[in-house]
Amino acid sequence: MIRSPFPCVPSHQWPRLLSASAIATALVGLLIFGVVRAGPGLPALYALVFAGTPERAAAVLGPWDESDRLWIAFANGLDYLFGVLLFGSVSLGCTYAALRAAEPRRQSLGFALAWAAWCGVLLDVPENTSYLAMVRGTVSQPWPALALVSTSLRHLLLGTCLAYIGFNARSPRVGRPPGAAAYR
Amino acid sequence: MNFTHPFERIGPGHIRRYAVPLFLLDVAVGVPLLANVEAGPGLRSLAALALAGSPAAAAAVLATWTSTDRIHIAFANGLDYLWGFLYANSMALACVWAGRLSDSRRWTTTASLLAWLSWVVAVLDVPENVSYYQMVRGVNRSPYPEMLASLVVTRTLIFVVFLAFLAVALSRRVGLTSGWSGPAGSRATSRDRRVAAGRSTAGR
Repeated sequence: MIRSPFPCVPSHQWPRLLSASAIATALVGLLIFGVVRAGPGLPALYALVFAGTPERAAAVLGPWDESDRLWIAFANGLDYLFGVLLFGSVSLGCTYAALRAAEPRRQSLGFALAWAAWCGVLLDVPENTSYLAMVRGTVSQPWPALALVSTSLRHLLLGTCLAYIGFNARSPRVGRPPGAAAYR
Repeated sequence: MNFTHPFERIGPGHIRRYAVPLFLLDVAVGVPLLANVEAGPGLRSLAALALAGSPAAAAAVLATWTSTDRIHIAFANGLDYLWGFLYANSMALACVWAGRLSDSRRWTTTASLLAWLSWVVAVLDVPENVSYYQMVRGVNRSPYPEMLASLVVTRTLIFVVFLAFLAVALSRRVGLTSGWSGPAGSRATSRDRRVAAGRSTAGR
């Protein structure tokens, strides 16, 4: 049986914890969105993320001026905080949804996803290192490919966790109640 | 007046469970952050910019930086928000731990106040990093250099007070300081006992 990553959260604290983490994630997310918009913009950043090859990445980076590069470097650094908040919230959400799941197998899956969500934070490291290298001007492999692979894995992980939360968080609580008692 | 910090709800003997991972995360983020600054203009040049205090002095420092240096510092500025979040919580946890070493009301109140102050330091990171970033971007005009210098000096002073408090706490812990008012041979103070009692009541 996989255990929860948050065994010490009392049942009455879950709504407050989930709301606080969601609000913090939204605030930092909006800040990053603003920073990216002040620079080259979200479509240009996504084009760089999914370039995959040095040629395509160089074509995307071509029109960027120094100010755009500075904005993206700043957003890259800030993205580590966003990653911790986002995947921390997702991990909390998976745990909460797992505690509401009726079947033990489904609950284990939720706890496994709650642990796996923290891999999303680790995937930030190769992703942001790749962006920084490219923004600095090192547009050669492995950076474009590494950025593509780590971003894809991160999105896949995020999608899976969110799907789990969506399917389970609203289900009526049949099993043990959330909170410390559920772990004994 | 009650200055109880949220971390004081952590039960006695459980602080280590949070402190060790937090300390490891501090190192895991702090070392790349420092390496990134060193890969750019270097720590000395960054400190010179932080303490410049006027647009003219800041311009003299920034004139020696290349565009790659600016990219490194912009990245470090962003990463500093995560590092600030981590070390502020580490400091708060250390204050809560130190506060439990004595039953003296003055000592525990100082510990709680310093724990809150640690979070204030994290909030001060925001205007500080905004000032850095504006200057790195080339917006080198008042109030950014002045604001940056005053924030860095304030933060450093808070650090000095925090480190002095922690040094006294550690010396008490190992028995170097006389006048120790905590329970001998025990880390559980009356506040710990109150926390533990509250938990057992809540569990019923």
